[in-house]
Amino acid sequence: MIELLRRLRYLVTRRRQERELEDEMEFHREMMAREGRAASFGNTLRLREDSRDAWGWLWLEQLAQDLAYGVRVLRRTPVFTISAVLILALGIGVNLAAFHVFNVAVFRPLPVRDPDTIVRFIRQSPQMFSDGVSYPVLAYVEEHSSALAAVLGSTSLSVVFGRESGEEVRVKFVTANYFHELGAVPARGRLLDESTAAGNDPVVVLSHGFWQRKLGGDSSSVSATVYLNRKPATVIGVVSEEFIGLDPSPTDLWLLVRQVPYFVEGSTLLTDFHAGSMTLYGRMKPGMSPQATEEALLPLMQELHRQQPDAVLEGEKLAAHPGAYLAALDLDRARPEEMALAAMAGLLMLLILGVACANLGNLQMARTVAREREIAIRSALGAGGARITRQLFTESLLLAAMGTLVGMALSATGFRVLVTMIDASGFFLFALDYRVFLFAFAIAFLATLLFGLAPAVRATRPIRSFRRPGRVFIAAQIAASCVLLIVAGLLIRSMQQALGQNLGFEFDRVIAIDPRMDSHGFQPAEASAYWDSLRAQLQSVPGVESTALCTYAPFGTRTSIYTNRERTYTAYSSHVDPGYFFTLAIPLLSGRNFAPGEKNAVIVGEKLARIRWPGENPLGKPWSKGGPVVVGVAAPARTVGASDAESTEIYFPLRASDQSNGILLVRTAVPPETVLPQIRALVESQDRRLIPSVSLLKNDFYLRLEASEQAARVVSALGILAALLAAAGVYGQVCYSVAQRQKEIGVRVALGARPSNVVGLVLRQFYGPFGVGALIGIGIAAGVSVVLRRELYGLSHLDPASYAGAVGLLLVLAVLAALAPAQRALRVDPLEVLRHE
Amino acid sequence: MAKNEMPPGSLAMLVLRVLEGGPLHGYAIARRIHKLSRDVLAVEEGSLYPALQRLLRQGWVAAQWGTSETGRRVRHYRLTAAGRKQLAQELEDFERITRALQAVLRTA
Repeated sequence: MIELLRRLRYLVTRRRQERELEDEMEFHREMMAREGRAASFGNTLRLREDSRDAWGWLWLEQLAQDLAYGVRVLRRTPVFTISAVLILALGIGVNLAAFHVFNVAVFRPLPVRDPDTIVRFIRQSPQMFSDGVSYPVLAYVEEHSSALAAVLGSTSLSVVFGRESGEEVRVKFVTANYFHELGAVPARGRLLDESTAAGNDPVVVLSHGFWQRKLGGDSSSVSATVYLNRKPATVIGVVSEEFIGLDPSPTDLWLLVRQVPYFVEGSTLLTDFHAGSMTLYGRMKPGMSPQATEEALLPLMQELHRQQPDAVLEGEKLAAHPGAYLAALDLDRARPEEMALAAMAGLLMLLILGVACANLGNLQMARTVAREREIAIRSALGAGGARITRQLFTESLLLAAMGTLVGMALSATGFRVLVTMIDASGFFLFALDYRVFLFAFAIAFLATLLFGLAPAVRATRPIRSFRRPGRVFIAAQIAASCVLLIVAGLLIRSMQQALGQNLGFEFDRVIAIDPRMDSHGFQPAEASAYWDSLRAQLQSVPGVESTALCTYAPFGTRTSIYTNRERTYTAYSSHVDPGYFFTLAIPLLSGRNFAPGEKNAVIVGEKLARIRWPGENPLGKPWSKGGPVVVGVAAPARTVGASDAESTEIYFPLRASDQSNGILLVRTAVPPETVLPQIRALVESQDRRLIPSVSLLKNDFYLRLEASEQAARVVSALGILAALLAAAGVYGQVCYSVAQRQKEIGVRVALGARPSNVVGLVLRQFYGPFGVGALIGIGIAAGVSVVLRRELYGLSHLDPASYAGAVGLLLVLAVLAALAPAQRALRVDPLEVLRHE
Repeated sequence: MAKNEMPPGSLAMLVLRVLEGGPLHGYAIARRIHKLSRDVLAVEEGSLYPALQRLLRQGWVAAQWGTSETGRRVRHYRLTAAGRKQLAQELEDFERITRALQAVLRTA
């Protein structure tokens, strides 16, 4: 330790020490001369150097020298430096942006007070688990539990904003303590709390974004009256911009859960033990772990089970998960497909970096060759191989450092673009934390190793040409670009497939009507009357061909899935009335339709029949022991899992209880837009308590496609970028090759070689790398695209058109890039070249 | 007498030993070693200085500015307590090795 201090003191007073030593040695020499002794002092310069080295700071001095030298070298070739920095910035920036999204989603806690003590509860029992808890259970936990410091809950219901014709807004109904417990501050007015809940006036808090967008940020919004579900409510405040609660999905308005019955007429949410729609959160007491909290709540759950054995199951417990993180690395709950997709996305980003580095690596190699003289001189002056290698590597580090800085700036923009695509809230702010820096550092170093190490090491060996490494770099770029282009091709083709494809049912001319009667407390008898009346009226509208009731609408977000233990099939199920198949034009391949009122029957999709009863006739067979019997087999119709080509269907007859949560499908003979307004008016006049949603199925379909479309766009952009980089790499290589072989070309032309021969000669060395690169790229793409199978709308992940298209495009680009300099080779004047001999 | 190469590392030991008798400046150290060895050891006088720097770094020797006999400003080196300990250690090691070598040469 003390020695380190001595060394540091030396470092700081370096120059003075050197002068003093010089003086000393000078004095020594004088004395020797004076006393007439033979001068065998030694090489002063070397001795001074040795004395300096004795203090152990040699590495630092050398580093400083290398850096200064590197800067000088890079400044001398500004074109190279700028292009290298830009290429690196692209590769690094893309990766940084992707990492940043990952960082924010997984590591950054939501902006709430004390995020680490917040947990989210899931109902878990041996038979099932469920995200939603009923409100009475929540109230019970709050009242009787001492295990939690606070109990919070929220639920989102759809609400229509506006006096007459309204638009749907995203609303969260929350417990009274929500804002206060999470440390939210109002931007204007005040927020929901116990006192506002105690009074019975209907109140609403606006989100900052909604206030700006819809009400223009007008300060008079506070204490104004707005209409939600046609009920008046007073705006008491606007919440601050950063607050998004505990749920990343964007929210426009906040209401008190206690006031649900006011806004949703007839709702039984507050008293129904079977409605499981609240998300339950809690704040743990200081010092308690999630497991301890779970245990403490067990007696409560057991008591609830005694009181409500249907609603709270035997052995059910509330499992605690981290509540204040967007996508906590909850590995037991994460589905392997999601992880695989995320991993693939990361890989694609790294491929871009790979292409950039390979490109740069080639450039560096070329420069090294051009600097042969300089390196030879330094060698002659006494620099060891290691020293030279270190210096060249330091130059690469400099480039990487600059590339990272520019890359960070680029990634800030890229991040913002990515975020607007996901439609995320103000939570996804670009803020640098230590993790991002660490990642940037690691990526920069990785990049330097990839593009800087090989050229630096090879510089010290006698260089003839750098054919082999150059070809390796080209092959690597071609491979990486290939993978990206193939994946992009698959995504694009699958979109085409999806749009042009027959999903097995008619949706172009179908309208879906969802009145959500269950949330308004309609009983089946009342609901049934509603439907009968509505359907009769609809039939008299010109253009309406048929109507059918079902429980899960096509392209909807709600669904129910049947699968067996071996997971050999995924069957999307729905309860439907007999008119369903006719309305959606789904043919029945064998057997018959449901009879009206039939209960014990089931119709299976063709694929399910094949898997469940291979080689047999499924008609008459029971679906489950003592259960409904198969009466018909339907042609495949991907109503819910549209993109999942592996899915199949199963249909059950509509039950009386389904009347309240049913959805009506209406098929029209004319374009549905023409009758939509009329139908909408009819539906709204049916029952003033309800606010039904009326939508065109084809719009819902396009909405679902959007996400895939965006992915396709992003990957295509990356693919084109990579391909252009690769083409630039090929161009550079060919240029260099031509320059190297000028004499050879000159001689050949003088001897009578034809232009095609010369061009062939130059291009020949690239056939190999291109071929190898393309093969590797295809192999990697084939492996990686297995992960995409679920998203490809039935397209095979080995779709030949995509693969051929990608390789073809790359080939064309490479050939174009190579031809230009090759052509220049032809203009070489043999006399000029030979004269240079 | 023919001049011989000094075994590596021994220069430091010699310097420490020489300084045991009191602080000296660089030239004086060189002259003393030269005299005491009766011209046997061939050493570049300049190589004293890197050795002195190493000793300074280890803290076995400390330097101070003073004036020489000729009135010039010059640096005097003196042995520190740590240096004394180091010298004793090195002498012990040296003697042990020499004895071992001699034992082999005598009887082998």
